Order: sequence, then structure tokens, then C-alpha cells
Amino acid sequence: MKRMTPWLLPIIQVLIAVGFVLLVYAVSWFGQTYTFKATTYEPYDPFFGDSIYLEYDTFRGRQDVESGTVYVTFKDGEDGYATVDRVNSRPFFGGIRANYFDRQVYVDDLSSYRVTDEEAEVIRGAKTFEVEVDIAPWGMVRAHDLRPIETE
Amino acid sequence: MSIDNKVREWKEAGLLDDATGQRLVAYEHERLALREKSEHKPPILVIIGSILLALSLFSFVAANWQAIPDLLKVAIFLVFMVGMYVAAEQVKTRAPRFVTLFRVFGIVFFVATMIVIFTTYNLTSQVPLLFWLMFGVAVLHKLIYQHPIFTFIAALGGFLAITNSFQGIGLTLILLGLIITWAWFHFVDNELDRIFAWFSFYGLIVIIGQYANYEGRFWPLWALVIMHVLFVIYRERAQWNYLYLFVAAVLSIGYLINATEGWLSQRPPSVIEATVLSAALVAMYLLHRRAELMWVSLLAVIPFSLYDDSGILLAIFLEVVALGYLVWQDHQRKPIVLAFIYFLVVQMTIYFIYVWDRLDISLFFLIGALIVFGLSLALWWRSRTRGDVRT
Repeated sequence: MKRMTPWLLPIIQVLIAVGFVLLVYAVSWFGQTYTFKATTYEPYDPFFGDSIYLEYDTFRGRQDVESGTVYVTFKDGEDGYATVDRVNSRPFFGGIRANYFDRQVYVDDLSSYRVTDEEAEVIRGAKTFEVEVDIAPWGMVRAHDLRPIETE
Repeated sequence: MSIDNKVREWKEAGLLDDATGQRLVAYEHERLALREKSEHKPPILVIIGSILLALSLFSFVAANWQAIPDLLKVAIFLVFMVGMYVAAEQVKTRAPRFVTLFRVFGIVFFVATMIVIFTTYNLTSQVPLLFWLMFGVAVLHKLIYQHPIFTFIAALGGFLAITNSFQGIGLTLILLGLIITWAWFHFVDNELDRIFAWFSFYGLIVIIGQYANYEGRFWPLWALVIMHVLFVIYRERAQWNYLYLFVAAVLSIGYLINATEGWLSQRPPSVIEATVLSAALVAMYLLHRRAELMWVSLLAVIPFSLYDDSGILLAIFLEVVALGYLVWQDHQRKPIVLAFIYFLVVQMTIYFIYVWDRLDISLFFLIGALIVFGLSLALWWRSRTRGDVRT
């Protein structure tokens, strides 16, 4: 045991890191997938980094909570895109942490999307998108498959 | 060889006999051979070459960072992290002074790995968790490797974790924080660690108040009352009782500053809460019976002084307490520097609150400086006469 002690920490730290990566993938394995409609002010430019800022129309509107940190869940709307379902100032099971101010809900983890190489070509110049978001019961989200939609 | 010449010289001078001379020469040669063996250094070109190779590897990875698959990115950092601990074990016998350096790099690479995971998978909202993890592994390092540097890394991690958690924290993180802090407090037998852990506890209790949606204005005071639980459990190791005094001093100044501001006076405290809090503060002193805690229990006046919007009552009270504490310390022949600093801060705060709006700025600072100067002169004079009495 004495000989193993110095190795305890690297092992624990590797386990924490691997566990975290697994947790991220578990969001997709166990989570529910919603499709969101997102817009951006500025089209994707690889020169300014590999992320794009996204805004969600369905997050807009008055909610019956105090502004500040809130917890939200989502449901599928009539047009096929997900909207805010339940909002509460207190944490509840399945709730995603978000901010609410100026009559708008902001989910930090969804407001910026990391564009992969394949997507970069497809979304060039586009300002309106569909994005798939996996939402885990333990409150983590994972956005993937960003694709542009034609606006009329 | 100089030793050979020297030995021959001594032999010729009749200082050494043949056998001793030979043994001396043999001994010196043996030592020389051993030293050369242990000081066997790699040639300078190899060192330069490996540095260049490392740099080129770094720049190659950095240039292609976006193209590297997510899992590979994490794996690269993990390999570096484990490499640091391997290096620490490798140099343990040969260059012990580098062991801790490599372990610190181990923590750095762990944090870097987590940052890579958080940015790659877009987990910006989980940043407080990153600091809690850093806090946790730093405390574990302190527990296992026992080096003072880990105390400071743990303190830094704890500070970042607590200050980043004010905006909202879940029950799991609170529990994790309590466990880490308790392990730090309980298992590390070092006063500095205890002090930092004590402050982590205090910060955590303040956060719990936030979590529980406490609406009143007295939570910092309640937190101090709750901290007395540590006193009950760890009675025998209570060298850190002056921390209560320190926090009480800071809180008294804080309430004094805010007494005239809207934050406190807008919402008058409930009489029941003020009474219970005051009773609790006095009860804590009666329970422990430590002289320092008597001064802490004087905070019991604060809840009631807030009914007075002007803050004058609190100002007068703190003035009396500060002076009383100074005189008491002096009377007990204990060091009066801290008591004097508190006294000075109280003077300056009161001066600032009540005079700032009423005086021209230059005059304000002139009179302020004169007050500080006068008080310092008094302290100097006092310490001088005290010295005279002693000698």
C-alpha cells in the first residue's frame, strides 16, 4: 500500500477527467433530444475562432419568475421546435440552469456552439439554423448537428 | 593527480607511512570515480536538442489544435499530467528538490485537462465545479504529499470555488465542498491549513444561506454563530479562536459602513430574529468561556443598532468597544498592534461616513492624515513608556 500511495492522485485525477468525458457522452446516451431554432447576428467566421453565437427566439417572452438564475425544462412546440416548458427559481430534477433577465431566458451552454469542420462549409453565410440538443435529466446539455434553414 | 603528489610529499616529509599513504590514495581515487559516475550529465547538445524537439512538438500540436479529435485532445493533456507524476517519482532519489515542482505541474495539468474538457464540450456553466475540483485535488495533494505549497494551492482553489459559487450552487456541490473542507480541517495537522479551512467553512456557510434563500440581513452573523460548532467538536485544538475575533472585527466594520446605506436600513430586521441572534451570540460566550469570545459576543448589539437609520448608535458603540479592547489588551500586557489597527480602522470608517460629504476633499484628507498621525504618535508613545516600565 505504501508503494502505491504516490500513484493514488494521478489515478484519481485520470478517473475524474475520464468520468467527466463519459458524463458528457452520457448526455447523448440517456438524454432527450429536442430541435431548437436558432439565429445569429453574425455568420460564422473561422477567422474569429471555432464558435458561433446563437440566439433562440423561443426563449423570449415574459416568465413568471424573478430575474436572475433560473432552472428550465423544454417541450416540443407546435411548429416542431422546442420551447420553454417550466421555469422556476429553485432547482428541480431535470431543470437546466439558465439566466433570466430582460424577458429572455439565456442558457449559457447553448449560447455558443462549437462548429465542426464538416459543418463549417455548410453553414457559411447562414443566419438561421436548426440545432439538435440532447438534454440529460441531471441538467447537462449537449448541442450538436447545426444546419442552416432557408428563411423566406 | 594532485592527491598522489601530495601523498608523496607527505611521505617524503615523514608525515605518513607507506601503508597509510597507499590507503589514502586508493580512497581518494575510489571517491573520485564514484563522483564522476553520479555526476554523469547528458551532453549540452542533447539538452538543447530535446528542448527544441519539445518546442516543435508543442507548436505542431498548437497549430493543428482544431483538427485534433476531441478525445485525443483530452488524452494528450492526461498523458502530460501522468507524465509529471511519473517524473516526480523518477527524480525522487536523484534530485529531491524537483519532486514538488513536478507534482505542482501535475495539478496544473489536471486543471488544464479539465479546461480542455470544458471548452471542447462547451460546458461554460460548470466552471464553479472546475474550481471545486481544483480545491479537492489540492487538499488531497496536501494530505498525501504534505508539502506547504499545496496549502496555498488549496487556499487559492477554495477561494476561487467559493467566490464563483455565490451566483448559484447546487446541493451536490455544497456537500462536496463541506466534505473537502472538513477533510482539510480534520486530517491536516497544521495551523495554517486549519486557518484556511476555517475560512472555507465560513464561506460555505455564507453560500448555504444564499442557497436557502435567506432574506434577512444577518446571515454573516449567523454564520459566525454556526462556526462555533467547530469549537464544540475540536475544543482541544482551538488555537484558532482569534479567527472569530478577526471575522467579528471585519463584520462590525462591514455593518457600520452599511448601516447608513439602503441595503440595511430599507428593511428593518424582525425583532424575533434580532433577539434570537443576540441571545445566540451571548450564549456562545457563556458556553465556551474564552476571554476572546467575550468580544465576539458584543456583536449581539448589532441587530438592534440597525433600527437606528443614522447609524450613530452603532458608531458610538463600536468606538467604545474598540477603545475598550485596546485598553484591555494593554492592561493584559498582550500585543496591542492589532487592537490598535482595529481602533484606527473604526476611527477612519466613522470619519469617512460622517465627514466625507461635509468637507472639501483636500481638507478631508488633511484632517484624516492628522488623525492617523496623532493616533500613531500616541501608540508610539505608549509602547515607549511600556518598554520603560519593563526595563
